[in-house]
Formats: sequence, structure tokens, C-alpha cells
Amino acid sequence: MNSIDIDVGGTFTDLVLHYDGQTLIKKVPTTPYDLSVCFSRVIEEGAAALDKKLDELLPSVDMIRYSTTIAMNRLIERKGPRLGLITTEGHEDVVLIGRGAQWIDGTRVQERRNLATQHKPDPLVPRDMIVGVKERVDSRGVVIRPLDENDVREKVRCLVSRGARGFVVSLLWGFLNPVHERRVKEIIRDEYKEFHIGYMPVVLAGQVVGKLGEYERTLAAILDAYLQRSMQIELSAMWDRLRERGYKKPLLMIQSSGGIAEVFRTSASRTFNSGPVSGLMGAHHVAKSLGYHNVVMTDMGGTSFDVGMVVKDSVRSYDFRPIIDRWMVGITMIKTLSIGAGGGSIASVNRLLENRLQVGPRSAGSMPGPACFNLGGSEPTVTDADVVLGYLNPEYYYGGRMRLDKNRSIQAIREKISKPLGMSVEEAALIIRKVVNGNMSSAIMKEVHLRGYSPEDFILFVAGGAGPTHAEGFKGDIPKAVMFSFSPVFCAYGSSTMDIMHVYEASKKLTLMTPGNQQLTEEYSAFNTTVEGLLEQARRDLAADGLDPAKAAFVLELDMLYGGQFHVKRALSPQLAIHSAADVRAVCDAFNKEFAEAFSPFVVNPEGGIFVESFILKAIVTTPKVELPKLPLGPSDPRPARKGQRPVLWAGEKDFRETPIFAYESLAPGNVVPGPAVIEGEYTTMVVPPDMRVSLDERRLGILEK
Amino acid sequence: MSAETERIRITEYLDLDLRKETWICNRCERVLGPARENYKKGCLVYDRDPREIHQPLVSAAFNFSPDPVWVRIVECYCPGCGTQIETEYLPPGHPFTHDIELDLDGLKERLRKGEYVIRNRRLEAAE
Amino acid sequence: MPIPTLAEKLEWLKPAPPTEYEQQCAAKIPQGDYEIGVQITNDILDESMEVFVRASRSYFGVSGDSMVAIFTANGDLINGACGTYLHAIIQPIIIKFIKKYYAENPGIRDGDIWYTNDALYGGIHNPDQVAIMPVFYKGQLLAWTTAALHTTETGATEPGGMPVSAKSRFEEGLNLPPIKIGENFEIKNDFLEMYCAYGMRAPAMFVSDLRARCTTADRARVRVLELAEKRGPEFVVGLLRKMSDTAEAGARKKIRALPDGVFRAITFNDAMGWTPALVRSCFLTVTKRGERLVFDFHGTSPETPSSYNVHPQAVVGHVANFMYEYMFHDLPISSSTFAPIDFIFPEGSLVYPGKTAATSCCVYIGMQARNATQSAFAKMVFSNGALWHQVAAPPGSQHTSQICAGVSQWNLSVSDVLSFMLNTMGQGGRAGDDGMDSYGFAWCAFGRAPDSEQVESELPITITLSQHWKDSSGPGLHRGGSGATQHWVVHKVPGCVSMCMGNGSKVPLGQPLFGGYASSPIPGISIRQADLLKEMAEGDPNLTLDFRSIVEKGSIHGQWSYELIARGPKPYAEGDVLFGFSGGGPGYGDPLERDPALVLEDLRKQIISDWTAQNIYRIAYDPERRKLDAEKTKEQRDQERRARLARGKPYAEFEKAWSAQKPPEEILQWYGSWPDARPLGPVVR
Repeated sequence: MNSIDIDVGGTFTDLVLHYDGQTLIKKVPTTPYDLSVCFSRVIEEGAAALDKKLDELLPSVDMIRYSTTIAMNRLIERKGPRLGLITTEGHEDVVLIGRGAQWIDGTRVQERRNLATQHKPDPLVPRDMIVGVKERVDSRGVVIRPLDENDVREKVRCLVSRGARGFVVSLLWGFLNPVHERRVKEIIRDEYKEFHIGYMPVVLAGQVVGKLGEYERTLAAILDAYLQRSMQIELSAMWDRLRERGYKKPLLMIQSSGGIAEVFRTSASRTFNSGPVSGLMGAHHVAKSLGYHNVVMTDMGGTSFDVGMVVKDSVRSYDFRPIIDRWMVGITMIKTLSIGAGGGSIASVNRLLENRLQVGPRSAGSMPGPACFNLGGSEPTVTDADVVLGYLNPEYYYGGRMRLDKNRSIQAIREKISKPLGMSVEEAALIIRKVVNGNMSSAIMKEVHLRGYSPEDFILFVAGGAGPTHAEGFKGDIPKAVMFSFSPVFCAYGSSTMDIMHVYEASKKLTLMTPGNQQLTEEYSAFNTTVEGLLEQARRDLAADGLDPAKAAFVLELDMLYGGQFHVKRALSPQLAIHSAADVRAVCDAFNKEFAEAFSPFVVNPEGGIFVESFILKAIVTTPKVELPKLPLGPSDPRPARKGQRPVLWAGEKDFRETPIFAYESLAPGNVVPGPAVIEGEYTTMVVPPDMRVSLDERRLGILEK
Repeated sequence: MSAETERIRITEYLDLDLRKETWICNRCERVLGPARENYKKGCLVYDRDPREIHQPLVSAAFNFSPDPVWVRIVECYCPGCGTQIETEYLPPGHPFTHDIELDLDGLKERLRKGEYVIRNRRLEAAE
Repeated sequence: MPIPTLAEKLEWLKPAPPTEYEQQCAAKIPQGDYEIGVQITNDILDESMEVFVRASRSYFGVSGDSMVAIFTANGDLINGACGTYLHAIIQPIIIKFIKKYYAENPGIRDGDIWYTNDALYGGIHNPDQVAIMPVFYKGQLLAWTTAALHTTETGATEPGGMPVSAKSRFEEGLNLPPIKIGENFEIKNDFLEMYCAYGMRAPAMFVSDLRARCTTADRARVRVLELAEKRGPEFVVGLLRKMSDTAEAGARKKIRALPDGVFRAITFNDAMGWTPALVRSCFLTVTKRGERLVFDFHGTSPETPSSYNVHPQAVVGHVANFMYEYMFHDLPISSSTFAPIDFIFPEGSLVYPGKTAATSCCVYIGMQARNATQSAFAKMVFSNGALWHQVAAPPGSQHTSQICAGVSQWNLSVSDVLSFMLNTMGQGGRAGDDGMDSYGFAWCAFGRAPDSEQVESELPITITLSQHWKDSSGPGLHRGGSGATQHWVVHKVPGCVSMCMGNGSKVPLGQPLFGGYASSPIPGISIRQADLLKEMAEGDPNLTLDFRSIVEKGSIHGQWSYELIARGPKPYAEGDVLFGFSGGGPGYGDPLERDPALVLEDLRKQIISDWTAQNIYRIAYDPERRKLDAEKTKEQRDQERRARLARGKPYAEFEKAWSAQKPPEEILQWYGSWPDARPLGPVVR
């Protein structure tokens, strides 16, 4: 199968092209002004490498998958359309009150402590664009106040007169009983017809998120409505370019749930963070084939450092209320962590905090980029430090396509760091590198600990353009770091390993075990009907996508909790239906086990009863995957790949030391490169400090260890 | 000491002239009185019925207004420009709070020793 | 009975001097490793907090209104999570008590779980419970870890954990002095049964929270131990010592930079339990000399036979909340940051009551000590070039703390607080900015309010209104943040029992700053036999669910009552309506100086009324189009300034007439002598 996988990151756009048994990787700078430009540019580069034109390549491609780290963030900053929010009367301020301490969302723990400087984010929908309509559904789904249609019409007109160009309808319990939300939409459609020039999109929150929590549900709906138009324009532009050049198959988008869906059937908020999720899914796939059970997946690009975890062969760890930008949404996402640390992270001196050196979270991005890019950036970045220290080769950055100006790096570090701190430029560069590595290492440790593990239990996967350059510093106590030939484009590689997966959710509260007497339920039909409903929907959708439902695998997960608890845990159900006490017991046991592992056996509390809150069905259709080829191991001597030497300053040493430089592409399986050494690839540079070595295994994976 | 380096902002509206040891209105430069005394003594003072500020919404014993029998708003104005320098919510007859009693001699001594400097009318600890 | 004395408590709050061993260990830690070690303690605390939030059940727990902390072997606090700072700072008292009195019998061993909730022995009040575990490495006591959380039930005379009517500690339900409740990492069953017997009103919540505390303290313990295993016990001992020393140096440096002098602030409360009564809840004199601060509470009203007394260490806890939010935000939550601070408490006062005093509602007095501290510090700090922007008015701490108890629609026994009003208070106006609207909880800024749907799904309540509370915040150059309001309708069950704690119906709780105004008081409002559900069901087009129009037009019919915010437990029937409020923040600066554009913005946000814009801020505008008339605004404001000059009286003249006044005797029954608030006689309990 021929496939194209593209990941649009903050600094670079990556491609993995599987074509006629060949695998190619490419990288071009991201074009923030129009993502469809870098999107088609990177495919063109891939085609060129095969000596083909775009319209020769595309007709024979079976699948294009797309993921992105940045689309959402970038679009949130841009001015979206003026939206009107229609909610239940009396609850107009929900998104402004923001469950109180809204100001902590999207900020780091240490940034929160100073109450004198905190602010709530500016709302995407201001108060005068929010109206409450006379209606109410209660927690049982019962209408306790009928919808006042005249009131709706009047308020809709009022919003339009104030400039609304789109609507979000989010009524209390609208996900449980959608009758009022649907009727509001009909009324809007009645007032402003679909064929009107002023056609305005209407997003119903109950359809975006099918679960409890009006704040998180409303925000997810607002983001979808806010981004719908611009994402549609952007994706249409990509789609049009592909169709023009003869592509006939679907354009698929990775979702943060780990699913994949056709782009025009994806809601904006579900594509958030799809890049890191693809990377994690790729890590999961590679780990399986290499036999690793616990992996810390890292991706250090230009702007951010993303961390995901494979624990006991599973990536099923979820955020139930993730934050997008500054907004908490009710969408369930695969858990990944992102901190502001990358090649473009800006170093600065904090004079208030006794001249403490800080690196990030601000980034110079790709425009203007690090000072050495010579594109107008004057602030020193991590990449500038790497250039000054001799780790990066100014002549061979990005395969030599981008010449770096070392003098600019020196100048930026001298002006902004070494002068205020009273130290040499080189010393300052070493500290910049130490601090950014320390930040990343600490982020990894916390994630490992939160799952109840220690670093020694894990292997580190290193991805991203800057990853191999810094892995020696952020790997911490993890014994081995693995670098791949496709490390610089790992997220795109990840999506190429993903199966087609549709995810369906239904919010339904059920008792499996009664509190107190711990009796198991004998009522099986509610459980089974819910699952049947989801299965039916899944089969219908698969057929509509031209896939054979009979070939699909179905997996059921349940959001469960103990009575007397508040936060759910998502657990894998051992079966799709329950027919006996033994079945119920099996579901409960699976939950007890996952819960104890995730938190602590102390808090397992079946005495409080066991409840199900939501059902999640995954329909999976496997796609063929390209496995890493195994090659025979050769001699350990790497000297044939040596391409020269240059002075490099290593941490803990006083002077620059002449250090051998190797060409990654020329290294052969079996080669062992002892530190100190620098290994240059087209898109990345591996740094091997004096006390470490890198060995190339039979799959050409670079293993960095002491 | 120059004129600029002997002025310190003590509150939003109160400056201290360290040489003359006087309180000065930050907005209109009016001298309010000796800095070893409570600055309130140099203000015009008004006993405000709290219902004039916190509007009662209903006619009930508890009505969203402070109870004027229990508490009054004591408003201190600058006699020069009428700026409201300070307000206190006090039971009727309750003595005013002597809220700021600076150790002027100590301050001068520490400035002299170079422990502080005055920059932009504010104290900064010398490093 | 070795109940700790005040002298002992105050001594135990201070970090012990370093031992030679500690100093040797600290000296061995290289630069770089120290910074990483500090980060590791932060990460241990973050991780443990996440476990805590997930494992606990009460609204305080799931909101993150809780605390995890790490202590030295000696019992000094080294670092705490972002949470309820007030819990952590005073726990050294408990640990040092255990070490002093229980080292021999029952002994302190690896695997012990200790527990306490007794304010007399060093807690805040008895709903605040803490699990404490020693960290042993190969037999050497290295450190202690604790996890503290407020549970809204104590088995007291009233549901909800804070019995308003309690006159002595004997009516407060469970009061456990420090006790060993587990050995070998296991909670003892006999203890568990005894404990459960106090939690019968809400058994699931009560036990879940107990387990959550133990789990969390254990998680932090395991991580500290891992650090010792990896880096050696000396690294841990040295790290804790060095963190303590660095924090102390930082605190001293900050204090040193402030001008010397005496700074005072006072606050008043308007009810003791559900009896209206005026007290001087805090008279604070802060004396600042060099690196030393002395907090003296002389002048605070005498203790009362109510539950509104506060033990001295709980006052220190409340003061810590302010210090770590505004003054020491860049220092670790540690005992040593309080080393330069001394406290003086007058015996027999609200802030130093007798042993048998009830203190279940102590937080309403304690918070006033925090508010007074913030007011006094504003006047001490504003002159400092590096710190002046840390100045702010106190938060809007008056709020409806309504308990809902009974049998829920799920047929489960419940007794919990409707926590929305706790977590949506307005921040006080700031030197550089307005206070944040509905910023959080004055006792824990990071706490989260629940979604209405969450509350409705658990409790027999339907929330018909949840809005910013217009005109709740204190006007000023920088106004206070807005508070919020909710309406709770008993629904889906025949009825429930509800009671309310609180203060601030007659007198606003926080003083404004630099010429601003305070925030609005909060009445206790309920409507029995309300026609709201009926009118809603019938689709009455004239019914508008807007707070101001409901109150001003009385548009819900029924038996309205306006009472003191604190109300005893009463049954409410399905359809009855209760009102909840969170206080706005007091204002900062003269309202006539507020930018008229911001006043218009406040109108757009429905944070203030036209009345306030016109009468307090004195701006002139077209109310329909909200367009400013700048010229007329200036004219009106000048006019008001002239009016002030005309009506204001010279101090001496004013004081003569003023000091002749006195509030009526009937509200002064617990004030003490007028006006200096000295005890008039002994308190009989």
C-alpha cells in the first residue's frame, strides 16, 4: 500500500512516504500563514526524491493521513468569527466564571503562585454575545421548563444585530435530552436559511461532547464553532490541491482520541494535539515490534517538548478534561504532556529572581527563528547555544539547505546572557543547554512517577529534529535512549502505523455493584442495549466509508468509578456484553485491577459500589504496516563513516576538544561510536558525550547509553 | 539629598517628604501634616451612610447593604483636591485606625548607611 | 494531659537549629544537584496532589482544596503543594507533639500512619483532618509526609462538619488528638469502625477521604524514600536542610527590604453562630524592625461561647495563606520562611480561647486575621520598588456555605457543601489591576467550583440560576473582582435538610484599600412554597431568571425570608428555593479615578449596574448605546470632588462628634468593653 503521512509542527512540516516498498522522509519549514503551502511543498519534495511529479505520484497513493501540533493553537490566536452563545437562562456566565480558578488552566504550577499577577483569559465569546433562553431540562432528562420559542427568536435576532456570524447552542443537560438544542437550531435555520448569503453555522454542544459538565462541554463547542470556518478553508485548500493533482482516495485526520477519521467529518477540537498522539501511537507500534513494554516517547522540536508514555504495552491513559490553550474541554484525549522547550526556546535572564537563567517557554519558532537563522531573530535560543558549543554544524544544518550564522548566535548570547551574568559566551551556552535539558528531564520523571514507575523500568524513544541533539541531557536515569532514522519525522511515521479507528461514546450511568451489600447487578439489558447502539452506529459508519464491518475489531472501554468517588477511570472491558454474574464480576475485576495500578491499592473501594458513567466503543480496521527491516550486523569500527572533526565544548570541560564527526547515513549496523562524537544526519544531529556511546543495531536504530 | 530623592510613595495617594517629615498628597502636592502623626489628621473626614454606596435592593432587615447602625464608612479626603485617600468601615464611634506609623529615624539611618536607595519615589534595597 | 501550650506551639512553628550532621550533609550537595533536588520535591508534591484529587470524594477534595507536604525528621515543614497553605504551615506542631510524647509509647515506627483533626492539638478545626507518615530509611527517620483535607462531616450536632450552634468542643463530633491509626502500612480495623461511626451521615464520603489522605501521604513518603535510595540518605537530609536555609534567607531578604515601623489593621464580624453580634474579629498590630516581624493581636474581642473562636496556630495558618499568595509566592512553603515572624496572642480572646472552646467555625475569624494582614502589609509594602505591585485589597471572603443533607435521588445518604459559592469569590482590587472576577476560594486560590450538572447529578438540587452577582464587588480605581450567585431548588426528592455557615450579612468582611469601597454584604435568602418550578413548567413567558430582577421585582412567589447568612438546620420541601452568594472583592483606590472606558466595560459584562456607574463612578453616558460623554463625566467628577471638600470636616471637629457615638448595647454583647474590646467576664461553657 502506498501512503503519505504528514505532520505539521510548530517549526517544521514532516513527511513519511511509503511507496512501492520504499520509505522516504522529508522535512520543510512550516508556513504559518497558510498551512496548505507547506503541506503540498513537502509532498512535492517526496515526489521529487522518487523522480516523479506530483500528478504522477498522487493517483497511485492509497491513503493520506494528516496530524498537527499547531493548527488549533495558531487558529485560536487568529481572530475567529464573532459568535453568539445561546445557553439556558440563568446560566449565561458559566464560561466567564470558568468554575472559579479558570486562570490556572494552561499555566504551569509554579507560575500560578503569585496571585498579584494572574488574569483570566479573554473570552472567545464576550458577555454581550451570550444570551440565556427560557427552557430547562433536569438531571433526569425531564423537561421542567418548555422552550419559549418566541424568546429564542427574539434573542437570536438580537445576537445577529450585534454581529453574530455563527452560533453555539449549549443548554444544560442538552447531551442527555437534545430536544431543546435541536429546536433552537431549527429556529435559527428558519430565520436564516441555509441558502442565505449570511448562512451561519450552528454548533450544538450536546453533539460535540456527550457527557456531563456544562463548562467543559460549552468550551469544546465554542472552539469547534470558532475554528470551523478557518479549518474548513485550510483543509479545503489542501484537499483541492490534492484533487487537482489526481488524488482520489480519502484525506484522513488523526484525532486526539487515537482515532482516524475523514477530514470533513472531524470536529476541530478533536484534532488538537493529534501530532503528539500520532507520535505516541507510532512509539506503541515500534515498541511492540522491538519487544519493549514500557516506553517514554519524547519529541523535541523547535517549539515544544512532548512526552507520552507506553505503559505495559498500552497507551490507554486519558485526560478527561484536557486544556486547549487556556480552555478546559470535555473531550477525552490520549494523555501527552507538552512543555515549552525546543530548539527555538528563548533564553533570558530574570533580574527579579536574582539573575536566574530561564529557557522557554517562549519560542522564536521558525519565523524569525533562532538568531543564527539570520532571519531577524535577535534573541538567543537553544539552537544558538548548540551552534556556539560546536554541536551543530552551521554548514550542514537541515542537510545544508539552511546556512547558520554562528556570529549571530555569539552576538545574541553575549548581549542577552553572558554580559548580564558576567561570564563567557561559551559558559553561558553551556548553562542554557543544561537548563533546557534539566527542564525536559524533570518533566519526564514526573510523568514516569505519576504512573507509579521508576525511570529504570523504561526505555526512551527520541524523536523530533532537536531530540537526538539533546537526548544525552534529558534522558536522566533512563538507561537507554533509542534514536531512529525517522526520528526527525516521528509523528508522521506514527500516523503511518495507525489503524483506522472510529471512537463512539455514550454517557449512561449504571450500577454494576450496589454500595454496602456489594451485590452484582442482575439487570443486563441497559448495558447490552447501550453497547448494541454503539455497535450499530459503528457498522453503519464503516460501511459508509467503504470498509467491511465484518473485518473490524471492536473494543469496549468503560469510564467507571467507585461510589463515593468523583473522578472516573477508563478501564478496558473484557467483554462487549454481560449475560451472567460471572461477566459482571469480570468487568468489575478488570476495573479494580486497573484502578489499583493507576493509583494505589489503598483507594480501591468496592464497598462504595461500582458504577459505569460512560461507554466507549472503538471500531478498528487494521491497515498494512511497514515493518523495520532487519540487516546483518557488521563490525563495530565506525571509522568508515567518519567525515571529519571540529572543536566541541563538552560540559565539565574547560576547553574545546577536537571531536570526531560521523555521517549518520554512512554508519552501518553493528557500528559503535564512542563518545565524544557528533553524528550528523540530514535532519538531525546526534550528540554523544565523552562518557556515552551510540551503537547501531540491526534495524539501524541508534542506541545511546553509558 | 535632592528633592526627587527624598520623596517616597507610601500609598497610592500618600507621599512622604523625608526631609520635611510631612505627608503630601500624591495627586495635588498638598501638604497634609507631620509624618510622625496619623495622616488622617490632615484630611477632611466624612461619615458616610453605607446605603449610599451599597444600594439596598429590597426593604428587608437584610438587604445587601451594610447596616448603618452597625457600620459606617469613614471617608478621608485630601483637603486640596478632594481625592478619597482612604476609607474605613467602622462601627459608629469606633476610633480610627492609626494604620501607618513609620520609623522615620530608622529609615533615614538606613538610607544614610546605603541599605536602601530611593528610585522613582520608591525604596529599593541596595544589593 | 500533655495538651500543647501556646508557648510550645509557637516554639514548634519555628524551625529547629541545624544539627552538625545536617550541616555536613548540606555542604556535600554540589551546585546543580541542589536545583534538581528542589525540582524533585516539587514534582513529588504535584504527583501526590494529583493522586489526592483523584482519590478523594468530598467537594473540597475533588476541587483541590487540600494539601500535601514534606517535613524534616525533626518535623519542620520544607515544601508544600499548591493548595491550602494554612494546613501545612502549622503541622510541625503535630509532628513535634508526636515526637515528644509518643516516641516511647506507642513508639514511632516505619509503616505508622498517624492521624489528627483536633485544633486544640495543632489543627485548624475538626473537619480538617490530616494523615501523617514517618519516612524511615533502613531504620533512620529521614522525614515526614502529610496529607490534609477538609471533609464536610464530623458527626457533630449538625450535619456538614462545622456545627454553627456548638458552644464547646463537646458538640463538635469527632475530635481526635494525634493518634496512631495504622501500623505496617495498614489502617487498623478497630480504628476504622470507630471512625465510621462518626461518619454515618455520609459514610461513603467520610471513608473515601480517610483513605485518600493515607494514600497520598504514603505516595509522598515512597518518593522521598526513593530519593534516599538513589542518592543516599545524606542527600535527602542535606537537601532538606539547604532548602530550609535558602528559604529563610529569602524571607529575611524580603522583609529587610521593607521600611521599619508599626502598621495596624482592624476587622469586624457581625454574628456569632446565628446570633447577630458585633465583634472586633481582629485587631492586628504588625511591628517591623530590620528582618523581624511581630504580629500582635491585642485588641481583638474576647472569646465567645460560640463556635466562632480560633486557636492561635490556626490564625498563623490563615496569615500564611496571604503570605504565600502575595509576599512569599517565590519561596517554598516552609517553616523557615516564618522563622523571622513572631506572634503575640492575648489569652481569652477570639484568637486564643480556652481549651474547651468550640472552634468549628473558626475560619470566619481566622480569615479576618488574614484579611487584616493583607491590609497592614499593603501599607508596609507599597513604598518598595520591587514589591509594590504585590499590593491588593483582601479577597471577598463572605460567602454562603450551604450544606445539603438527607437522602439523594440515588437513595444514598449525603451531607455535603454546595461548594460553588466557596470557589467563586472575587479577588480584591490590586495595585496594578482590578481583582479577578470569581477568582477562587480565599482559603485555597486554586480550588475549582463544580459544574451545575455535576451537583445536580449527585444531590437533590436543581440550580436554576448561576451568574455573576451584579454590584457585589467593591468599587474603586481598581475594582474588586465580582462574586457570583446561585439559586438552589430542592428537587427530585420530597425534601432535604439544609443549614448554612457564614458571616458578613450586616458588615462587609474585608476592608477596602486606599479610598476604595468594600464589597456587598450577603443576606441569607430562602423562598418556601415557591412557585418557581410551577411557573417554569407552565412556561410563563414573564418569568426571567436574572438575579437582580428576581430580587428587586420579587418575581418568584412564595414565602420569602431574609435572614442572617448563618442559619440552623431546617427541613426544606421540594420546590423551595435557597440563594447562595460569593462575596465580591473590596476595591482599591478612589472610584472617581477609574477609567470611564473600564466602567462601560463593566456594564457590558453586567458586573455593575447603571446605578453604580452613575452614582459611584459618576460617569455620563448614553445608557442605550453605552457611549461615553467624556466632557460631562469630567464635569460630574469635578463636581463630586468639590462636594467632598464641602461636606468633609476637619479631623478634630469630626472626631469630636464621631467619638460621642456608640453602637446599641444589644449588638455589643460579645464585643467586650467599648471600644477597646477587653473581656468583661469569664466565658462559661
